[in-house]
Amino acid sequence: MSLTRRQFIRNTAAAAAVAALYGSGTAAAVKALDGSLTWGKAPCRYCGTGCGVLVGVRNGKVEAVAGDPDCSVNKGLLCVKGYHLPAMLRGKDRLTHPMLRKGDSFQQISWDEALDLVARKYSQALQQHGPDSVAMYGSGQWTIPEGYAALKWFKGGLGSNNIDPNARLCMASAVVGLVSTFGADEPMGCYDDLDKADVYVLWGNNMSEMHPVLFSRILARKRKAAHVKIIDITTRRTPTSRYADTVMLMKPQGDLAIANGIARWLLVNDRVDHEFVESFCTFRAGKTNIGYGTEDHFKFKDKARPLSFREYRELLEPYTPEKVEELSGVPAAQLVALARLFGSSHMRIMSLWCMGMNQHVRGTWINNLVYAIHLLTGKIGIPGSTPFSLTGQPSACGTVREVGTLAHALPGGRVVANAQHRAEAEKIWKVEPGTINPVPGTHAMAMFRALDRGDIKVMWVQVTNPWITIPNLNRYREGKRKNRDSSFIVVSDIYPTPTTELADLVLPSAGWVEKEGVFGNSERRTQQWDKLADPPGEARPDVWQTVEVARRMGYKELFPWSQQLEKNLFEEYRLFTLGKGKDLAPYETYRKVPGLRWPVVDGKETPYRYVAPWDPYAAKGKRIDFYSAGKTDHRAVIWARPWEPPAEEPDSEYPFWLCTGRVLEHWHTGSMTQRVPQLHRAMPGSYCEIHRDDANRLGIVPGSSVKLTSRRGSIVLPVAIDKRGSAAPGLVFVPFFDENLPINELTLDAFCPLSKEPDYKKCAVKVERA
Amino acid sequence: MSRIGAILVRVREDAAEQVILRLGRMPGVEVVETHKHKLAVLIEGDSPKEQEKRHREIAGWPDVMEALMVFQSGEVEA
Repeated sequence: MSLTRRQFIRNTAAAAAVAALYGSGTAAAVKALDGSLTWGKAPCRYCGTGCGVLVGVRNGKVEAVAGDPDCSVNKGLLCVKGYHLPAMLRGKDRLTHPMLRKGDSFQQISWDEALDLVARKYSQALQQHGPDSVAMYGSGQWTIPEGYAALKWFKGGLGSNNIDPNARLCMASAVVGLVSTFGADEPMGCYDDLDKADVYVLWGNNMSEMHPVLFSRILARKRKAAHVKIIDITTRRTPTSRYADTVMLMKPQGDLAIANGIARWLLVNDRVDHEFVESFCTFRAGKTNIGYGTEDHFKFKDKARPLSFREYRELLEPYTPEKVEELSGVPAAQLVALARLFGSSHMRIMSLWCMGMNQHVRGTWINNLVYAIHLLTGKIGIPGSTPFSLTGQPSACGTVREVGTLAHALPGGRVVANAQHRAEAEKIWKVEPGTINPVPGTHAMAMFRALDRGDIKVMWVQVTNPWITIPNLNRYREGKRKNRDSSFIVVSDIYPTPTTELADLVLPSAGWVEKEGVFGNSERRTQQWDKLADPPGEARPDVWQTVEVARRMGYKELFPWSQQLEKNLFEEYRLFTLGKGKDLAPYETYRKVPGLRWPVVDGKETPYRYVAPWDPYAAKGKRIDFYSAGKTDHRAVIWARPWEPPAEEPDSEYPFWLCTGRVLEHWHTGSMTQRVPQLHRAMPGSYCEIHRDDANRLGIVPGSSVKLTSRRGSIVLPVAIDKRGSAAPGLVFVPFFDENLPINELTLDAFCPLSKEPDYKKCAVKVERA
Repeated sequence: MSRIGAILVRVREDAAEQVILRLGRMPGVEVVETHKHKLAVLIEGDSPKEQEKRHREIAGWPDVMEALMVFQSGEVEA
């Protein structure tokens, strides 16, 4: 019997589909490529995307990695950093023994000596100076068990809330934006939206370099559908701009005006989804002229007042397209074109942002305003239509925001200021009622200011490198130096850094798959991995270090487990999540899958939060149910937030804007990626990106160097003109990954008064030929 | 002329049967095999546009987590 061509093609197509169904191109196929390796799974170590990685191990060492085809986040892809993960663990200068400062050098000591010393220092400080004199500065790179153990030790043991993470520097505005709008943290959409939208609005978000795997999903969608558009709202042309249909080049701080201008246009032209707004939203305004947090002991508390729709409209009235053009530099026609897209009922629109909106003196406000646009148009809770805050660190969501390793927080969305929340935590922790301090502790910036003043006597830094990342770095570095004799700094890390250089005690940590862990990514996906490789020398997991110190201080009952520490910590933490719309699955479930998005109820994950039928907590029969917004009767808040000027602007003495950020090859301060030869060769050092016209005017030529000076410091950098990115006129961009050229010596420690997140994207500098 | 393609459809774990029924009602669509919550599906269309429209429609269903094109033919005689 002969086949027709059509039958043949049908059979071929069917065979291809069935092969895909049963695992050709799956994790099993990848693992089969090299049978001499033992394969395990883990999320990538670096950013908040949460790419699934297959890890090949031989003789206790990571020998190979591959993108996990079974992980829906990355579907087998990795970025350049991910493909070079094994080398990240193999740097020749790994920290392998505890080291104690003796004068200007370090001396090797035993773990027992080191842990006893840390316990003694904390006990002495608590006894002599009280709970405000101790601190822990953690990380969005902490695993969930690491962060949970630290939080429990501090809040359930020491009675101190002075625990805050580096995620304060990257995600706090997103948190406060979400909580003030929806009553709970974490986005409602997910990565599935990336495959479904018609328009992607990137608010100060260089996804091509910062979230390349997710950006590849947008590009795949764009390739498939000709109508799909990318709108890039930015202060500099980046690699992302090359793929954009429209680049809206704005002045720093212009996003506040743009968002207000869009909202006004929607109202004036009656493109509001009135049914959605009336059913699911309410209007509020808060305080204005709220300051910038630059002064010591800065305090701020917002006060919301209800608005009618008419009052809301009146507050938007100043933001005509012409006024927005004046404030933002974006042509009125571009603004109207974007507003029209939001106003078109058939367009599915995804707004995406990360540090551009969060590291902002009005970071909470701009988060509020973008949510307002989506709420006004009902472009929310529909696959492909959602506002979506991306994360910079691998577990800024899972550990910091969900576990609650913040100065004001407790696990599962609880806060220390709430008596019922404290009681719930004390019950789960089996500690005496009243153990948890009801007063929020110091947030990151306040913590470093307290260290500068000499108020903090002991601080433990884990999994982060603050003496490169803190803005106005000179001030805080000198703060530590001048208080050398009266303060004691412990730093746990896998490599020497400028932070370990300032430490009194350095503890060697296990990295990535040298320990067991759990991360939580940007789309509420919880991802577990087992210990797959051996750490070098005497390096040990951070969670072990924390628990050993706690036990030495007499808090054995907080950590009663003799085995399976990570699993037991997770299972206890899980109790905080159940029934609260944040439900996590049992630990063993995560061992079997490349992650699940919470809430996980009856074994099912939730891709779309607040929306039935996906979210089991959402009321059935309603288009959407903002059930976390109990205080506003399940209504999301549309905030009126004005444009206000930044803390520092260019003037005749410092005529340029300085914007800082990351590059594709390096992750954060480069302490890991600079040790990967391929990545280091690709991007060996920092640079100053300047516009060609500015360079010509100042006589700066390619290949030369420039001296940047702000009111806080000065630095000399090689110049980059029209290279990877292109600065707007009047603006210079410098990446912060290079510890030899620490740009944060120049940045300003102004922050959003609501979120306390510093603004790394705008301060004033002068530029001179070096 | 028509166009033949194959897609791998990943559905919510509890929704496979419902999606299979719904696919069965679509013209030019055939479920050729299922495995757990994944479905191998053939899509035919009179034109690439029609085929893409069907693909997009399936991908947009709430119970469909993912609909990946794994094979696409050129034009063939119907």
